[in-house]
Amino acid sequence: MNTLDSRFCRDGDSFGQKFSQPGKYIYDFNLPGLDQLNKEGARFSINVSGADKDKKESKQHFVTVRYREKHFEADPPQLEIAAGDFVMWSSDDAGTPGFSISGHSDKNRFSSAAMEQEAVYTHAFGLPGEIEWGDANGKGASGKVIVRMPPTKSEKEMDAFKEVLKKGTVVVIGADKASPAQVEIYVGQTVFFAVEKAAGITITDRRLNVDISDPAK
Amino acid sequence: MPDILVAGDEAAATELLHDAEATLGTLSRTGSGSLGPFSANWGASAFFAGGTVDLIAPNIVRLANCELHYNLHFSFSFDLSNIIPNFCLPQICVHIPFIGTVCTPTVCINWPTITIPLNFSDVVRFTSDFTLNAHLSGSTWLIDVVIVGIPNLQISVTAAAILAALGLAAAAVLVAIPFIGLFLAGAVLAITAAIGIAGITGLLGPILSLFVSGLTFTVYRQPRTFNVLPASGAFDPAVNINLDAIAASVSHTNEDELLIAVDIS
Repeated sequence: MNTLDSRFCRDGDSFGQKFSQPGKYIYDFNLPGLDQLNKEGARFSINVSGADKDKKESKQHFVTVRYREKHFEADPPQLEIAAGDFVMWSSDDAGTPGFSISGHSDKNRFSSAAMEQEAVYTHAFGLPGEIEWGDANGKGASGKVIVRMPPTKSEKEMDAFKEVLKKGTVVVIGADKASPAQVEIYVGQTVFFAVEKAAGITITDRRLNVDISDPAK
Repeated sequence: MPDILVAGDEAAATELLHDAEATLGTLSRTGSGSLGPFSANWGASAFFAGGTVDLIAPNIVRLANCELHYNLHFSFSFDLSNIIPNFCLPQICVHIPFIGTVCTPTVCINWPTITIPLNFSDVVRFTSDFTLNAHLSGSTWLIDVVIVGIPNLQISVTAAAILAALGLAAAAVLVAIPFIGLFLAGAVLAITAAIGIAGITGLLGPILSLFVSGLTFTVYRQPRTFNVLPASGAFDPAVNINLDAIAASVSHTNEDELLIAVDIS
């Protein structure tokens, strides 16, 4: 639990995607890359209509990911949204296994294991430490998150910490650069890794990167 | 009047007891029991050492300051949710320039079930009376000293030490659980307070009693047939005597002595 890896979202993680282009997107939950084996048979869909000219703000939609009888389920399984809306997936149960989300329309695609544009991965950090993150696909940016234990011994300190918990930290990721490259937070705080434009990257704790290109080595 | 009478003073009896302790070796037990509100599985091993003998006529061997060396391992599992209140990360909203306002859902932490293991070694000294019991076991005469009742084991100081060690063990397990660091001190306090000294003594006392209850040291062991002279040829067979009866007692004359009386044929 609580590992920083957009390929393996778990309790405390969220993955979000802005849908700027209209179209019908189908998607599913799987291990990274496995969605390509079943391009037509994805069970969940998002129908993105053209943007309303009078619309001032994009709307956010939440999808809860659950695990039932050895299958992931999306709640709701189908969404009707407008272009420019944002959809965020997360689980609400620690028993839900890690998952990646990937889908596509005729022209566009999205994946938590290969984020390209207008995608967000959020992670609530549960343990203190220094976590260096990078792209497990070997293309993108990298950075560091320093997580400290807040003082919570007195009621006053706990109240102050509760206020801190409400504040998120944003790291914007461009083609090959994260800004800021290093952030410092308290345990319990959430970092939003927002991918503006990239070549299909992951946000992954570098300690999780295992080279399996040649298992015989 | 017995055919053979052997006498040993308290120093000799002490030496016999120490040999018997070594022969008894390390004893092991396993089981489960209550640890305050929790249920614990435990395994324990123990051996006896030291002590001095005070002989009291007519049949008491008092062993003073005998050391019970024990190693105790126990573990208990419980659902952390039962002692730590629910904790939810609030919804967080941020503004991302190329997306707009993005919010996370509220995330409530489901605390896991944890197992806390503990190893603890210590020595407890006790003084207890034993009675002498000479008996034939198969074809071997044994003289046992058998504990009378169950001695009072002073474990309150030990219990406090175990509770402190348990607090450290709990902290070591808890610190690896995400988000619990914020409640670590409170969680450790909740666990140790729930168990308390009473919970430790409630587990430890019966475990140690298992080792001392019915404690028996065999201080003398002799085959019933005693070989006096070995055979030295076809026409010169071995000379054996039979130990028909053995009795053990404590006698007080000018000093306290352990007496072994033997009838032979």
